[in-house]
Formats: sequence, C-alpha cells, structure tokens
Amino acid sequence: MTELIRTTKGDIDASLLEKRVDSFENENEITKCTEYRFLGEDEIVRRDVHVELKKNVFSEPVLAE
Amino acid sequence: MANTQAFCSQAKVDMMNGLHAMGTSVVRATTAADAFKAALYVDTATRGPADTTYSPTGEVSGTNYLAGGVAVTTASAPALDVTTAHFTPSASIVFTNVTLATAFDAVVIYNDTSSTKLALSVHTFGPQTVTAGDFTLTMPVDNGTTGLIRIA
Repeated sequence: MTELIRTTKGDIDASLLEKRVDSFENENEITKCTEYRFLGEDEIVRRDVHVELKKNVFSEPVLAE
Repeated sequence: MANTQAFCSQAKVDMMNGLHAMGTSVVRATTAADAFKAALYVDTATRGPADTTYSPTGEVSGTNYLAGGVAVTTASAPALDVTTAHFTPSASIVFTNVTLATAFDAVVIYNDTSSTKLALSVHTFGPQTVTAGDFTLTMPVDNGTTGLIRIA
C-alpha cells in the first residue's frame, strides 16, 4: 500500500522521498526533527519537530522571618 | 508539639484554582476552569517573566498558524505532591500542518478566558522551523518534580 507524505509539493509517495531524522537532548528538552527531501535533492519539502520539555517553571514562596 | 511556620500546601493548589485573592480580583461568570492557549514566538522576541498578557509582538506567522495559537488541553486539575502544587496540560500542544519559516524558540501559555488574556508562563527550547509539518510540544510528567508549572 502506498504511503503518502504531505509536503510543500502536495501529497507525495513516500518512496520518492528521503527521510532524515535528527535528535538531540540537553537539560531543557528532548527534540526530534524529521525532514523529507526528494531523492537526490536538497530542498526540504517537509519538516516536523517534536519537542519534549524537561525544564519546568517553578515558583517558591518565601515567608517573612 | 511545636507550631510550624508554613505556606500551607493546599493553599498553593487553591491559588492555582483562583480561590485566594489578596488583591482586587475579577467577577467570575462560572466555577469552571479557565481556558488556556499556547502561542509561539520567534527567537528574536523578548517574551519572559515581565509579560503580563498575551502579546502578538514577536509571534510567529506562517501557513496554517492562527494568531493567538492553539488551545491547551487542561483536563487535569492542579494537584499537590507532598508540599509542591503542580499543573501540567493533559495533552501535547500540537500545531498541525504549519509552515513556520522564521526560527522560533518559545511558547507562551496564557489565559484565554480572561478579558486581558493574562500571561501564565513562558517555555523555551532550541530554535526550530517547520515546513508543511507538525510542531508538537510534549508535556513532562505531571508531578511535583517535573510538572510544567510548580509552586513549591
């Protein structure tokens, strides 16, 4: 069954696309980027980003002495 | 048994639920939880702790991105983990099928029920662009250690 990928050029058969996945992690986040290009070409026709937040915002009340 | 000076733990949750008003508050139309939204900002914007309300200044723009951002799912009420109150959106925040060509690195969560769109929090990440794709922000585990917003 043909898998179609939504791109800037419309829905494209996945077999015509090169998929690159990059990920990194630091103290703040875990991020995964997925890029699609036509085979042998440089132009990115789709790029998804998934960020998992690790660092929250925090408030600590202080009582008067 | 001695007395213990303390910021009462449950009061932290009650503050998150709008039950204490040490200053002028607002007349609430309902007891229901407020609605919150999430907006994205380019990496040259200056969003931060001084924000008081949602601002369109520096907000991203692009295909399928609506100014003001998307709704935040808040099915889980604030809770208490020992002495730390915590609140985390109950689902990932997803911007679907967007093209955002200018690098962005922050999301602002704000109160969409309030008439002035009061700002709640700013969260940053590495600069990103999205091309005809989805931008997904997955939430941390909702507890007193990792919850997205915490009062300890």
